[in-house]
Amino acid sequence: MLMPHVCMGLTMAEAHLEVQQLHFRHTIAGRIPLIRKHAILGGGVFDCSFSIERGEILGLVGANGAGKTTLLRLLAGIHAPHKGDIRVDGKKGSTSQLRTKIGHMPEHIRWNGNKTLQEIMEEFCILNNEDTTTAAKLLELVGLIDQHHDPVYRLSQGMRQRLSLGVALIGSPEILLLDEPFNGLDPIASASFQNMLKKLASKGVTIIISSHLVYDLRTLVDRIAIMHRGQLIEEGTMEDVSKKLGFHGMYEIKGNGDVEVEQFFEIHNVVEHSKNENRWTLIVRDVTSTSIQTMFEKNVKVTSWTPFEPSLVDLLQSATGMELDEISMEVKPQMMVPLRSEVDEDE
Amino acid sequence: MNENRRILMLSSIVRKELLYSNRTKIMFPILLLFIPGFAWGFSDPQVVLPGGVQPETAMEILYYTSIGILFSATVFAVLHAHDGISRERISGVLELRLSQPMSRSKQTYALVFGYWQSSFLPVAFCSLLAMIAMFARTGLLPSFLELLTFIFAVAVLVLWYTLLALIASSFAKEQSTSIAFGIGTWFLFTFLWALVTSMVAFASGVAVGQPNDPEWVRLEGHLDLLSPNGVFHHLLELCIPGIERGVSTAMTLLGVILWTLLPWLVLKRRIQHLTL
Repeated sequence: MLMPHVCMGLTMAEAHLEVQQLHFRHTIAGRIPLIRKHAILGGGVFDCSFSIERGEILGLVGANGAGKTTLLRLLAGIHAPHKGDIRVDGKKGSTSQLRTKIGHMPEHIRWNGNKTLQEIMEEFCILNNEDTTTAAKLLELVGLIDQHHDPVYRLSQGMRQRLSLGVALIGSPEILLLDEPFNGLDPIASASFQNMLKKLASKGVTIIISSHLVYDLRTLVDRIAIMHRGQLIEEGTMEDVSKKLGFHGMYEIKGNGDVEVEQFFEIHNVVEHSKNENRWTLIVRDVTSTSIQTMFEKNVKVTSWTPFEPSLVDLLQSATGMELDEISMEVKPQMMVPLRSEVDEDE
Repeated sequence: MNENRRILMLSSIVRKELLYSNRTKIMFPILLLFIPGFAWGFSDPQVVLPGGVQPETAMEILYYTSIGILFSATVFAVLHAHDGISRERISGVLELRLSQPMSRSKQTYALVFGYWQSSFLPVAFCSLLAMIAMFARTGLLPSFLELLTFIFAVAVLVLWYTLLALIASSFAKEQSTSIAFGIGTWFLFTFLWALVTSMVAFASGVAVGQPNDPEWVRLEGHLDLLSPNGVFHHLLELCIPGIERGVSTAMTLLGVILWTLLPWLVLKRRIQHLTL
């Protein structure tokens, strides 16, 4: 588990972006103007600390409402943190200074209206104090140069995502924040998007990607951070996190044939099993060649055995020790209360 | 690039988008009907208004034409700006905008200036047509000072309604709230203000609706300072001799300043503290 007040991963001197004890809670209701103590505070981000090296890609994963978007908005300078520091290259700056170094691509921008892509890009170039001639270059970079005179309402979802990325890249940001960037992208667009991100990272752009799709991230990110109830509960390389959460050395064995899966309990350390008509799957720990050999000797039709790829649900269940329903679908209001004790909280 | 130039460029993007929008296409004939149309009607040499009043000077005709401006230009400004912030909040573009390096207060300047221009320019064009219509029928034209006062009054009126509509939009998280607030404000000041004035007069023991009662005229004049439409009329009355409603020029100008500054400061604060 990530310990509070400790920056994981890198030393302070190497860190490009460093977040220390970040704290923010949304006001949900009951706010009486000028009398803050009557505000009812809801979820947010609690005591969040981490750091990232230049050119690194961090995947931020968590269930809906975990606080990923809020954390990204804090980093983008949209929300001002109630407590804590955000430092770029070791320097603490105001939210406006932060915005000059960060490119932000929010989730689900529903671009609409009659403005053309070129006009939108030019508008954001002005907001960035950037020469409007960069608009065409960026449209070319995100593969939208042929559509630059098209009104934005004509774009497909994938093209809208690319436009959002183009806007986020205005001003050559040092740090890129992407909130669910793969939503609505087909596999080809998603792969090309990932390649583009890798190229940017190789040029020294630090990238934070929020997603609930761990599988999409695993080939892209250098490290992942798991968020739950506004806290970073685990962080590290995919392998480290898998190891810490007990997924290391686990295999998924698949096969077919009418067999009693219980018979494998003697051969393997079975963690989970399932059977659907003629097909069966085992999740086992510590597979050896002998154990697989034993299965073949029993004439069991094994079709594959691969290292187990934990899903977000697996990671969250393991990291929190909670059941699936507790994590997501049956969130109770009291569950918004942070796990860690909060000091000096003004509520 | 210079900050002021950036603000102007951003506002011109808003102006361009709105000037060619369907809203303008729908509202423009209404503006034509209410502004040059009223001017044409009040320029009729045979026209006799209630109380036997006959407009005689260019400024008097423009003063009566201003009723058409109150009915059309104000609602035009509200319809333009009512979703100026809420629409982008819903679409997610606001989040992107707020994450840009340009400060929120500068973005507010650009937004207000853009929305104001998009409403004011068609209204100013219609006002020009009104003067042409008046000249065609009566041969009268306002003096330079009268023209300046008239255009200034129309400009600030449109600005006030733009600011009010944008404030409503900053609170609204969906379209209907901002429409209700914007149209509600317009309705209050355009139609219900007479009722408010009557109620205050009744509560103060002043006879209601007696145009020859100095107490009533004075009370109505002062209460008009609390309404943007009232301040607009006070401004126009500065150029019409013989109108005495107990409100000095200084008070009128103070009303203009307050009606401009207060909504502006509220909007600026709203945008600075805007959450998504």
